[in-house]
Amino acid sequence: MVDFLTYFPQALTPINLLVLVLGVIGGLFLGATPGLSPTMAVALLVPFTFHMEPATGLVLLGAVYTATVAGGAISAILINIPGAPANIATLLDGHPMAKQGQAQKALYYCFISSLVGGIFGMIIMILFTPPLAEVAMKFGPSEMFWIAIFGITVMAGLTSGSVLKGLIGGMFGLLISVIGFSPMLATPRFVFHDVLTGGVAIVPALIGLFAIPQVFSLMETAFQDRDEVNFKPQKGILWQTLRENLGKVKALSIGSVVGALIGIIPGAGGQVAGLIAYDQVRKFSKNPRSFGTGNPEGVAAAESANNAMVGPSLIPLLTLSVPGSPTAAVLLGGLLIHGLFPGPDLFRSHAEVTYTFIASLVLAQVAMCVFGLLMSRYSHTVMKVPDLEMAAAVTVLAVFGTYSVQNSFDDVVVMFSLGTLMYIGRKVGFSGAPVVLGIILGGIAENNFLKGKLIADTDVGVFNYFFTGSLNLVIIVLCVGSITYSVYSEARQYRKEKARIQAGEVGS
Amino acid sequence: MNRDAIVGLVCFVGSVALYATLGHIEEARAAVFPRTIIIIMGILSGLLCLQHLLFRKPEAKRAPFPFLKVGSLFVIIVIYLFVLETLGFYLASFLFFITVTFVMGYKKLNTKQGLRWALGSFIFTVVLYVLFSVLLEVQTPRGLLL
Amino acid sequence: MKSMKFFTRFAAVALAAALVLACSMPAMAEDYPDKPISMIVTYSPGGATDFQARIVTMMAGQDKYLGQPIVIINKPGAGGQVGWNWFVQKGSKDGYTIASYNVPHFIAQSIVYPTKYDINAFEPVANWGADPAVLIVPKDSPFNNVKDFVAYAKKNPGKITVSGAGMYVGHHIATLQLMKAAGIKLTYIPEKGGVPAMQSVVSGKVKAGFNNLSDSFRNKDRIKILAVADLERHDFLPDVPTFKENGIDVDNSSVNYRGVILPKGAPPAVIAKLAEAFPKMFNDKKTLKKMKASGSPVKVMTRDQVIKMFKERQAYLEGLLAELKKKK
Repeated sequence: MVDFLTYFPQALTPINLLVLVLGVIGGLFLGATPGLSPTMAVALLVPFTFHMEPATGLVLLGAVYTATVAGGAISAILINIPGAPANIATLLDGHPMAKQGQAQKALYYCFISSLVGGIFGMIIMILFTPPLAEVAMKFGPSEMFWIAIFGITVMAGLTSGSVLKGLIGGMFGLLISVIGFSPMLATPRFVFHDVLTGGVAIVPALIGLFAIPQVFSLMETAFQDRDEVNFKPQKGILWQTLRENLGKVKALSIGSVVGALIGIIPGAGGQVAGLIAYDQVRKFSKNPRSFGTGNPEGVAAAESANNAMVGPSLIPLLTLSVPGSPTAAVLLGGLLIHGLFPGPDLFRSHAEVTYTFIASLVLAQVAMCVFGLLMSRYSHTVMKVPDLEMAAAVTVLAVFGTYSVQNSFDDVVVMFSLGTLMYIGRKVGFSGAPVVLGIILGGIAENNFLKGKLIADTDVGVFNYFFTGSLNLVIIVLCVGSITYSVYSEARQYRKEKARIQAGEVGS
Repeated sequence: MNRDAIVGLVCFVGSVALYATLGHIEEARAAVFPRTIIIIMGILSGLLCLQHLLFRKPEAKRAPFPFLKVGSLFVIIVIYLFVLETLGFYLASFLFFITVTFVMGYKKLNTKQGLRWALGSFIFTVVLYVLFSVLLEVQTPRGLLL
Repeated sequence: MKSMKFFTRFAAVALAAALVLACSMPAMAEDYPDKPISMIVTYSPGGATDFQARIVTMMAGQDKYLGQPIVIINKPGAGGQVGWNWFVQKGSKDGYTIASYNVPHFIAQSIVYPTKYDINAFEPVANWGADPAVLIVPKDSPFNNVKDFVAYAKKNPGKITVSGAGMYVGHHIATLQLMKAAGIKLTYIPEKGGVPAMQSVVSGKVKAGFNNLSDSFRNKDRIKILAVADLERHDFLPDVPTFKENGIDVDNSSVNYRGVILPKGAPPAVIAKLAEAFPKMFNDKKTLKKMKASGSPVKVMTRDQVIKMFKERQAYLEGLLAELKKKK
């Protein structure tokens, strides 16, 4: 903490501040463009930092990293297309709010909650890096396997409709994660066509599963008369929203704490923090059915978690060099180019540059909130774009965004096929969120199980390896708790509905 | 038969078909995980099917599916992807934008609207080009032009 | 009126002919390169190959080298197979598409898998780096040298877990060589890349690992480095002996070489030009400084040296992997 305060003024040089502000604004715009992933935005900017001073280059990367994730929430709320897997949970309630004419309020919620979560996460990181690095080290194959299983138990809750459909969608996602040539198993699986050799990468899948169905839906509603309410800017709601938002203590605190906890887990956190926090807040809510229909608490939970994750996820990134998301992986490359090698002594040997980087992340959180709130005022102009033009533009951006991730036309084909399938799926009650979760978790679950089994066979045996050890047991208890609670709340809800129907029948 | 029951049945048949392809995987260890998932998926689909056959819920009336609109959009996108690598990203996108607006919006099409759409797609493509190809040096499929 | 029509038609034909001519004109060797060159990197952005490729090509735009910048294009997937397959099948052969290579990865893959490439599909240009594999164990491991390690493995066949960056990469080759040379059995744990493989050693999840010398050097305070799988000791780690010094016949076949290739069919003038310019560019003071700052071991080799190295590896790996292939 003392070190942090000593080096903090370093980040405040005019050139660094200028780069920071430009990075945040650019990041918000790039992140908000549907089809462009934050990963790509950061990857595009790494070469630009080449010729900068290391500290300035890292300020730019830090600013863009923070801002693109928040920017992804903008397209999630306004157009129903998440910029990154992290923004899926934001979309579940944010887009319904926008459809009800509350786009600006939803965005205010998003940025205020982001700031709260983000600052919380950075404080955790600055104060507790050494002990939390120890915790992060404890996660081995068995623990990671159980973490993935825990993530899978969340799937059922991510669809507003049938639990069974949520789970089937999740299983479908897990199967997609298997496709392609597995470098670990040295064998191809489900490669029905050459385009699948490299497997289905997460960003093309995300774009396909969300953008393409949205394009078709936009076309369905094109030229229908729309509710004028969507188009009006909501004036003078900032202070009211701020009070309301900060009053959602439960959603914000659960979101921040869950986000920060998940951030510490090496190699998984970044992409699922929002979804898991969303699920927890819903479970603890008195009125779980209101989630998914435009409940601001959902936005607050998702966004505070997403940003609370950023700080702690730097702990495994900077001390173990294990990135928690594809975006963090690119960021890691940017650090390496500037001669910053992650490791426990990073904070000592390169204290100046490292702390400048961390300070820039803190400042970026603030700048992101300020500029985000300013941008939210113009959200109605996005809502005003006619459906037809929006559909055409989103298609072009989806193709562009998919191609440029891995410079692969095959990915574009995969993206569009998956998207068309998802459009049909949406028509019959499936949703994209559990599928994406499945794609992310599938690899983690399988690879860690196989690795764990290989190690266990030389040592204590599979059962002992996976079912003993305090960390394993804690996560297993969480899994069991999550499933039990889902079944319980489902049954309770069923009884309530049944009672209501019967009462209604008697009444009529 | 109820719609969700059909969905369950389709998923179930899909799981069985996928299970059949597992034989192609050479390495035994590599088949364990997908097999488990497929079996679980099959069971869930079966449950979904049964749930709706046994506890029949009244079905809400659904709006008719706009086959023509969605179908023509699908065809235009497929053609767009098909010519993408020959024409190059920017030219193909420009033509795609114009085609979609003109074909899908034919009812509204008149000289003024047509000009507006053409100008819109031109500006959109140019902005994309300047921002990504010139400023950020992103690679796009190159073809005849750009 | 008629002449007007004729004129427009003539103009159209002439224009078309000019276009065709312009497109099909052979690139003049003297002019090459007159536009930016694309370099395919077969791994994701942020990985070691990616950032080294970016560093060694950053000087290309200067007139004393190529006078045109090199643009990095990442085409990751299936351990590099997606990118190299694309490079030989769809990449342009005019010298404006080049690629990075990783030996022994691509050679081993071409032997074991049905890939579209092998050493004959490429025209080597130059080599920029060499990263030997080293045997590492956790800090609190009972093994202090190779002798302890081998003695334990002999008594407990298959009980030592060895992590590495994946199947048929340098680390895997080194493990196979060590098993064969010392007559021991080890359990190889393939991970998704060198970083997670290092991590499982540092945290003690596996008993040992083969990893890049550069990464091990950076983490040297958190692990013990037992031996280098190379012919000589390395400047970075002068105290670490080679396997040969320990009497175990493990040579430099697992060293991870990184360099640049053109596809077969590239114009000879282009090959000559790049083969001359690249080694100079790799040896530029600025490049070397940046490589050193990023902890990447440099080894510049010319085209002829790379051709020789490819052939040696091919011959050796065919022998080593033949037994594995037969098992399938």
